[in-house]
Amino acid sequence: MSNNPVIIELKNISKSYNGETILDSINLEIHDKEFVTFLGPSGCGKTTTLRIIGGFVTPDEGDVNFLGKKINNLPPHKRQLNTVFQKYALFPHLDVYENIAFGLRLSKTPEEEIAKRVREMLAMVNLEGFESRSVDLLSGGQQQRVAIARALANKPKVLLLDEPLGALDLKLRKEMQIELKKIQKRLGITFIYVTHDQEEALTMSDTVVVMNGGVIQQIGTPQDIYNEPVNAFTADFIGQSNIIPGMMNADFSVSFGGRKHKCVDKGFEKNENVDVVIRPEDIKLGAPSGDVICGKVVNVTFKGVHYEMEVALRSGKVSTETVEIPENGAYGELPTPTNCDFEFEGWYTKPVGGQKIESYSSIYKNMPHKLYAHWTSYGERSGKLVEAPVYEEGTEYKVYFESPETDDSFDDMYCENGVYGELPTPEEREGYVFAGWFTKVSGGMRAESGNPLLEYENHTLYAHFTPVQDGKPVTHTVKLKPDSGRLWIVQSTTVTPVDTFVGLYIDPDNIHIMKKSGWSLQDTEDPDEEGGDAK
Amino acid sequence: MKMKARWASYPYIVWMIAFTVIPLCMIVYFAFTDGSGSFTLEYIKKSAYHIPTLVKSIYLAAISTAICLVAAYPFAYYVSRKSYSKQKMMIMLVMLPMWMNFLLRTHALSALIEDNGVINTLLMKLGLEPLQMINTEGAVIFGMVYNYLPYMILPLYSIMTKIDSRVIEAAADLGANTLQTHKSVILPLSVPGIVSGITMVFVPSVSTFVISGLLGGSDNYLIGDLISVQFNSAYNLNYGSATSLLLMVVVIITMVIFNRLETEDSEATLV
Repeated sequence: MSNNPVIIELKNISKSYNGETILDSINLEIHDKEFVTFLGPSGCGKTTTLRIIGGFVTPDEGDVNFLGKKINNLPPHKRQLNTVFQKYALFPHLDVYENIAFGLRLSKTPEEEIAKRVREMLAMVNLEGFESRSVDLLSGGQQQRVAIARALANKPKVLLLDEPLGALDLKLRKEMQIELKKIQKRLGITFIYVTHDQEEALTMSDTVVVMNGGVIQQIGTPQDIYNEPVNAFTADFIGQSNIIPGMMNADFSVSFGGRKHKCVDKGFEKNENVDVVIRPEDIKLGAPSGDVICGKVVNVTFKGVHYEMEVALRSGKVSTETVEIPENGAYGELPTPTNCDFEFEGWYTKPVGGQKIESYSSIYKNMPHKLYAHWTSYGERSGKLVEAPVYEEGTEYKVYFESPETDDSFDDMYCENGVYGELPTPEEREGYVFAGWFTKVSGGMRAESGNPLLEYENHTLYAHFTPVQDGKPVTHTVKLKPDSGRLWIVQSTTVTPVDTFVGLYIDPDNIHIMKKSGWSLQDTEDPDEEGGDAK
Repeated sequence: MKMKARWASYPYIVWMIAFTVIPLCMIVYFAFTDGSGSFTLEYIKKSAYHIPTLVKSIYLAAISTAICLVAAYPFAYYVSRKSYSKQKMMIMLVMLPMWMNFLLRTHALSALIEDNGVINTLLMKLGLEPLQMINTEGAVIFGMVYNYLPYMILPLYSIMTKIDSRVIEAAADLGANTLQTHKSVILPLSVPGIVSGITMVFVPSVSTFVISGLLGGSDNYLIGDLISVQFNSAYNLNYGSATSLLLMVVVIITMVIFNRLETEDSEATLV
């Protein structure tokens, strides 16, 4: 397709309304005879882009070129393109025939020519015999067909379609998708199609332009977009995906889900943080073992062709908390860590001999404390997991993490079955402070509350130390976010019942590595933000 | 539900019977009877003498209605394409004169344009010839336009806000320039508003006696004045009723013709 000449070119298009940026430097080339789809969530700027091409919106900056000529200031009625509007926008006072003939009458086409052309158009959209019907009496699908016929009657070089199938039911929508694609092929003209339906985009397009936040995220064929998404947004928006934070160890090796995996990607920095995308249908469920990520099936949904299983990994996010100490040295409301294996029992301090700390318990102010989360098992297992150390800083107690480059480790400790007992506090070292215990086998996962180790594994623990400068550890603070373990979506034609322990088998070919985009899934899942958009 | 809905309409039905149906019947009764109550066509025949006055009334009302339409249409369209808050503000400005009493407004107008009124005093102070403004047809027309313009703007505006802006964009998209868009889309879609606007301006204009009485003088004696005199000064209920009936019949015929035109217009485009 891209061998055809460029018909529409957008150069550095920017647009904002009331100080809010709608489009930010859009650059795009659309080729002749191409079926291009702008895909994105509502408010991503896709409709605005279409309206700029149609001439209904003037860009603040940038140029719109049509066959090499700048058309920024050309009014819509002089542009050689036609639009199929959202909700059709048929002329309610005209019948089907006159609606389709509208553009032809304006161009002073002879009456026989108009009659011939309207007949052709009606035949194309399968509405023969509907000439004298009132458009109000047509069904949504029929109105849609009239709108398409009306827009095509003028023989435009480019047809713009603004979510044309949005108001139709699923079955009709699928039919119309196929029909539109056929019409586009037959007429051999360019279609620019706007939709928020990723399936529609993949089915119909030659090229998909994925947009979010007024920025083009990715341009490519449907296959490219689906198989090689360039960032977490595209991966999540196009089909269902497991998007997992990971880290590149070296070329062809990536760590995620607490272990190392082979992969087919290279060219990243060593230790670069990346997003890993794995399609639900690319994961095979099997027996749990020490070689694969393990988890428990927590939910099964029947989806018609396949079953969809949610597998909860038995590892949580690394969690810690900055705890504010009120004036008199009492703790405020403490965070409740979550854990999928054990029940949280309470927080304890180390220096005062295991005093239990609850909300507004008093502790001595001028003493460095370490808080321990105490866990009780549901079953016969019991033990304690060690939380990160807590140091006093002004009126705050801060929890410190290691800096990644310090890999000083000693005090190996062996632990079976994924449960830690009371961990020893290693000796202080000159210029360093103890930062916590880390496991080796799972690629440096921190051994602490909210982060139980996986079952079926033997672990070696390493104590990590952080260098101290001016009496303070050189570290960064991480906010605690309770997380009961990541959920993986797995699709399969066979069902695995809830509560089964499973291993996730993933072929290296199906592990897609993407650069961190700064976009995070939480951003779009936050209901408050959605409410804000609606206003 | 049905019962409830019916009950809700009873107060209005009572109102209608008491203040519209019964008075109408009384007008018909008085129009066809004489002072003693026996049947006669005398007053109907007498009323026919006033046909020239009636024609003049229709003529002045028609001109006023036409001026209102021409003035209101572009304004209503302009307002209807503005943002909601601006629309509200502009419509409030349109309504603003209606907060003042109709009689008062007309009196104020007459004080402005009478022979020794504000305008002429000003002109004479500037050393110019005074103008004959009051007691002319122009004054009556001006009074009608001045008083009834909002009644043209409001129905036009309310029908125009209902026109989907995408339909207007669709016309532009298919190659219509601004003028063509108005002619082939906006105007036809505004017809119901135009018809009700014309009704709301023409009917009170044709039957007015306050405006013609205060601004028109003896040369511009309209059918409304005539009826008013019969009822208020001559106390001839039968004569007044007969003339009223004549006026009503003329108004009804005009309206029927108008509505016919409207439906034919929309049918013509449908066929």
